[in-house]
Amino acid sequence: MKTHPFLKTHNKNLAWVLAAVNEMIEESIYYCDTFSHTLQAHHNEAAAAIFSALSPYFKSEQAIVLTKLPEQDLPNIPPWEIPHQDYEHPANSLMQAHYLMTEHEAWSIVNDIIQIHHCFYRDLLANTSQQEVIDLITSLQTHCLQCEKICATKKLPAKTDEDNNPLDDLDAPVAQS
Amino acid sequence: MSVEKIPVKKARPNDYTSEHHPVWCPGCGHFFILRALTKALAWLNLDKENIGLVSGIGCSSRLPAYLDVYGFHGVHGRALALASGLKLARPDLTVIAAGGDGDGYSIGGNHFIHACRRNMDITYIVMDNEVYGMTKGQPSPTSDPDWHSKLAPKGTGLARFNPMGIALASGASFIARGFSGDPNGLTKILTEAIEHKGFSLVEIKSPCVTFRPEQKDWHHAMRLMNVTLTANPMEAAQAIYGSDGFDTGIFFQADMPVYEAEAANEKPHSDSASMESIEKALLV
Repeated sequence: MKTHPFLKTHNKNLAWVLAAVNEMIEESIYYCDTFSHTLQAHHNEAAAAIFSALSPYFKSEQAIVLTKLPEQDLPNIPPWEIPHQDYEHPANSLMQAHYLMTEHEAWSIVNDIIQIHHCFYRDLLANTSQQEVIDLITSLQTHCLQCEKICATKKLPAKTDEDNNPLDDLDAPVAQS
Repeated sequence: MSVEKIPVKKARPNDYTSEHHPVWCPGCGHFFILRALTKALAWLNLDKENIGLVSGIGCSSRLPAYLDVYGFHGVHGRALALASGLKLARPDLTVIAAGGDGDGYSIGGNHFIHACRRNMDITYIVMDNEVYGMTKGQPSPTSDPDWHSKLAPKGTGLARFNPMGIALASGASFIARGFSGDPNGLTKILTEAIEHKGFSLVEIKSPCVTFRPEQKDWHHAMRLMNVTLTANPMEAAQAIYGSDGFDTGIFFQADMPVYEAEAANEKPHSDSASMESIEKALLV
């Protein structure tokens, strides 16, 4: 597999972990808040509510990291750095959003963001022997699992094609061949 | 505390976002470009009051409203004309122009060519979704000839405009392609473009999820940051024309004469710049 040109490969100490995790969660919060607002602007209140409901959970996840920050002198992480080979940016799942998205789709997207967090934490745990990193990541994973449970509980069944009324969107784009 | 010990405040991306939240269609690629731009500005630690962001008309041209820097939402296709004037009057500013493919390559096509030719120190961000989205989906200069819509049922039949090839031929000194679905790579490209001394074209593929929903598949088609940087125009031309449009990275970067140097003979300043001095400076 070709190595990403901006892949971080060494010096993944606690300070770096805190900074990298904080960056990732900050992105998730930013996009949850932003998409909640734009969905509201496009009169999709139901999907907007899901993004705004998840934002506080990400903020409490970030709080776990922030409590550790005063003790650390954080490195300046270049915004293009890739923390691990399989890393996906939280924004990637949001490219599947659209203004007519159902609640099911909204829950799927927020669940994808949580999975991106999980994936990063799994990689960190697999590649560290530092106890303080392990402790931090374990508590973050526990928090993520709680978010996952919320998603699993609230995720509604997907709409079937028959349920979709074409009159819902009076100006739907033409399907392309 | 001595001056040496005062810590330099490192800017954060949110420092550059305005109180207005974007209202692009959910899933639009422009969201990710906006964020990448704020991250690039934060990384460069630029003072907000020293940035001028100019746009034309279109979905993407709403950008200045969403950034907490000096902004000007201009006339259709005239972003580069405005940005050139701003850079001449205030060479000390970091000047960024932004817009879409219709705004920049069709209505503003002539300005685009001559902005490249002057090679002024401006960063031009084009959010290319191959459609006029704000006016409900007409084909743009970068649409495929057979792309059809309600408004062009049989497509245009016209060959695509090649902005990067035109930019290279016209004299731009920095030419790159980014993808909105690659926030990290895009931030790197934008950072390099803003730092580059000369005209920087950053052509960004940015899906329009409403009028070009099939563009969601771009995510699988893109080959991210796989271009070899060159300062040789011949090699760059080969890379640009040899690419199917899905490669990202910096295709061309060269140290070339910047128009500002000649214009700077007048040393115009916001306090002293008169129309006469600007017109004189613009005479090639």
